[in-house]
Amino acid sequence: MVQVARELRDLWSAHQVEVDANVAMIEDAVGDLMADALGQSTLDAARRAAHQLAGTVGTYGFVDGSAHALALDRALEHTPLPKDAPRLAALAVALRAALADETELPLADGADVPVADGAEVPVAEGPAILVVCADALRSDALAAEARRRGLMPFVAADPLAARRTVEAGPAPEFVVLDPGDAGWVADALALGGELAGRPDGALAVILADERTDRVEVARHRCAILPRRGSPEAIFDGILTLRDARPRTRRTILAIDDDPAILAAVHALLSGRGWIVASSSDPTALWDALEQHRPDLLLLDVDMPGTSGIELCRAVRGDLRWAAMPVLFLTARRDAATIEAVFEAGADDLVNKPIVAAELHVRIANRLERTRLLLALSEVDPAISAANRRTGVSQANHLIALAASQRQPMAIAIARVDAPPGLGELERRTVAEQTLRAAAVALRGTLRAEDVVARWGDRELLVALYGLNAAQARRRLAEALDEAPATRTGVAGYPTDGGALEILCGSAARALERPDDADADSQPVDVVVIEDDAVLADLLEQALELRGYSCRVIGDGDAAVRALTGSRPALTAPLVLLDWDLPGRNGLGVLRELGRAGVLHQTRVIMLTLHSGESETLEALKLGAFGHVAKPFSVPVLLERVRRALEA
Amino acid sequence: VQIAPHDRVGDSQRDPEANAYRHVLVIDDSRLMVEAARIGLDRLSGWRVTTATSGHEGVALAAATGPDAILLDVEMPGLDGPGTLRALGEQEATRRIPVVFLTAAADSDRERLTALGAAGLIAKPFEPARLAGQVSEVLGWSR
Repeated sequence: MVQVARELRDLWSAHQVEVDANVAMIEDAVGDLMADALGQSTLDAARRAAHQLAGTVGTYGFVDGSAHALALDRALEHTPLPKDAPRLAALAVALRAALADETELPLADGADVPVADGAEVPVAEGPAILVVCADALRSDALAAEARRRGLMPFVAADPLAARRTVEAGPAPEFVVLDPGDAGWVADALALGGELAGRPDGALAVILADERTDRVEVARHRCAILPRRGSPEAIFDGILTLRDARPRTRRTILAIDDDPAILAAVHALLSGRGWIVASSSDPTALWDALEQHRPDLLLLDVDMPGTSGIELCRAVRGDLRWAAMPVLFLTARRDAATIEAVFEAGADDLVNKPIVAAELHVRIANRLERTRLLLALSEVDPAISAANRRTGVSQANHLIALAASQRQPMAIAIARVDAPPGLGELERRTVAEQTLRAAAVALRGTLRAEDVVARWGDRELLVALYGLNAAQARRRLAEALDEAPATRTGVAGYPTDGGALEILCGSAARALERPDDADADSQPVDVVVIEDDAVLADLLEQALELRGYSCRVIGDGDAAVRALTGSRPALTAPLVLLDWDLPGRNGLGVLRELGRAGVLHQTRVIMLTLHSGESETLEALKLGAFGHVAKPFSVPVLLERVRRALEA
Repeated sequence: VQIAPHDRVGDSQRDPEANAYRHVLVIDDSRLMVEAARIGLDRLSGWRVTTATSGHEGVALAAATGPDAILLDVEMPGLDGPGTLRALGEQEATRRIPVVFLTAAADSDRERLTALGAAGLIAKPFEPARLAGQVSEVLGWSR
């Protein structure tokens, strides 16, 4: 954590005056005590100073200083006597000396990191991850966490630097974009989209906040994780997303105590489009299996401490890895070794010294066999997409991720209309072709972690991570633009339910609803009448994450039309009403709602920018339940919403 | 009209402790402490951090911003830690927010502080890089 040390040093320098003042207060008190003239206020000030220093300076590395300050803190707890003066004076001098010794500060040059002797320390390499983050401190923490997860981090401060890194280094398997307040979101998405859109596409993740345009993110095939999360939580999310994706690139894990062999394996296999992870430490095998979930394992026969044959037997004994192909690398050719290797459950054996073509062909053969087996069990060949069982399991995976990351997601059912006037067999064939076209269009446009699977004879199941129902509807309309005769019904998690069956039911009902009534025919919890799209989006997301269903209307006249009438298109117990609106302004909307009798069953909270007293009073007189001044804090507003709905 | 969102949504989905929405208010009269906490919680862990350098400011900010937890220094001029805790307990908007004391005090003080109703204690000095983990542990938040 070199960056942390650097920041702490800077803070320490910036706050020297404060520290000096505290030490001076202690010295003053000790001086007065020596002269037998210690007053109460001087003593109180010194006591407070000692206490504050005792708590603070240790954090900045001053271990001795912290101990001296703590001793002074204790000694000053009770009013000291003149006979205590020499001891206190000695402590004060020691304190000042300790705090002046800047060598105590955490080192910023990295010299506190033990320098590894390359030959003796086990080497381990994993898939590359590109971290693009403007805050050096944060990218340092993300890179450290990546290393803990067996990944090889490459850090760049902005998309331009990131492009240079990508051109120079290996193709990253993961990309993390953390724009924060930097102004390069669009460039970052363009880069993420390019890397995710390659044939062996990377998993590109943007760390999003309330300002992020989620549909735009989805257009660039980037996944979304919340920016406000510890590095651990972020990497939990990234690896869960990885596991949710159908794997396009295969991962090979190589364990060999000879780093030269590992280097050769990397050189020979990385260029073939495979991801290669390796370790020269056989005891790291189990961690590496968990971290990388390899599709194939390469083992050395003779390693110090452990034999590869023993490891192979143990791997075969573990149900999760029992089906993974294991290949041995060995220089031995005696019958006994070969027999032992196959007896332990190995699939094949490759001779050392390695011959590039042989290694490649043997690995490719094994991977192709497992791919075929997997495809038979997971893919519906008629539509070239996941079958129903696989789709359900993938969608459940995404729902679990959305729950743990507190992200919205959407479940959709897409149905193709069979053309009228054909025989049953023809109808079936045409429907199947249309369904296939829709599946191909979706698969080609959506992200790899999004789910596209067979649902029924004429239906597809689609799951979109990180988008709410309205955003998903927009995204699907774009994706299905070219696909004929396909209708979709969408349900949002967690608004419409927490379990897949409920969400599918809700999506199916949305499908049955006639198009014109699609959006505005249901009662919702909160109607937001707000023309600022960014603010409206923020409110919608915050409300939906709390489990409230919500509808946004951006125009005063439209709001009155939707909420009034004998059979209003929209009913809600609560309306959040902006003051300045196109069409009728907020006060005008409120007046109309009152006239139509809507306020009997609906409460209105005004969102006021210039909350002049007279305007607020007028709104309250017209029947508003309350008002919240802009700019408001979202948690406070949500608390007001909760109370308005429960009161 | 009674709306009970939990009828529709599992509790885990609205868990205010879930990582994505962690917001911590740090109240300490030492700027050095507050900034060190910001490094650990905001810059390293991505939590939202609001800071106050006095008890009164802290109470006002707690009510205005509704944090998920409060880290509170014990000894401060003016309204001290225990006084701040009491003031937080007297307000409807803030009484349910868990408070963790930051203390350089000896172990004998721990019982007294815990008896005041704090959710836990974290010893000063702390290491910024470990602070988020310590807070999570004290409050039982999953990391």
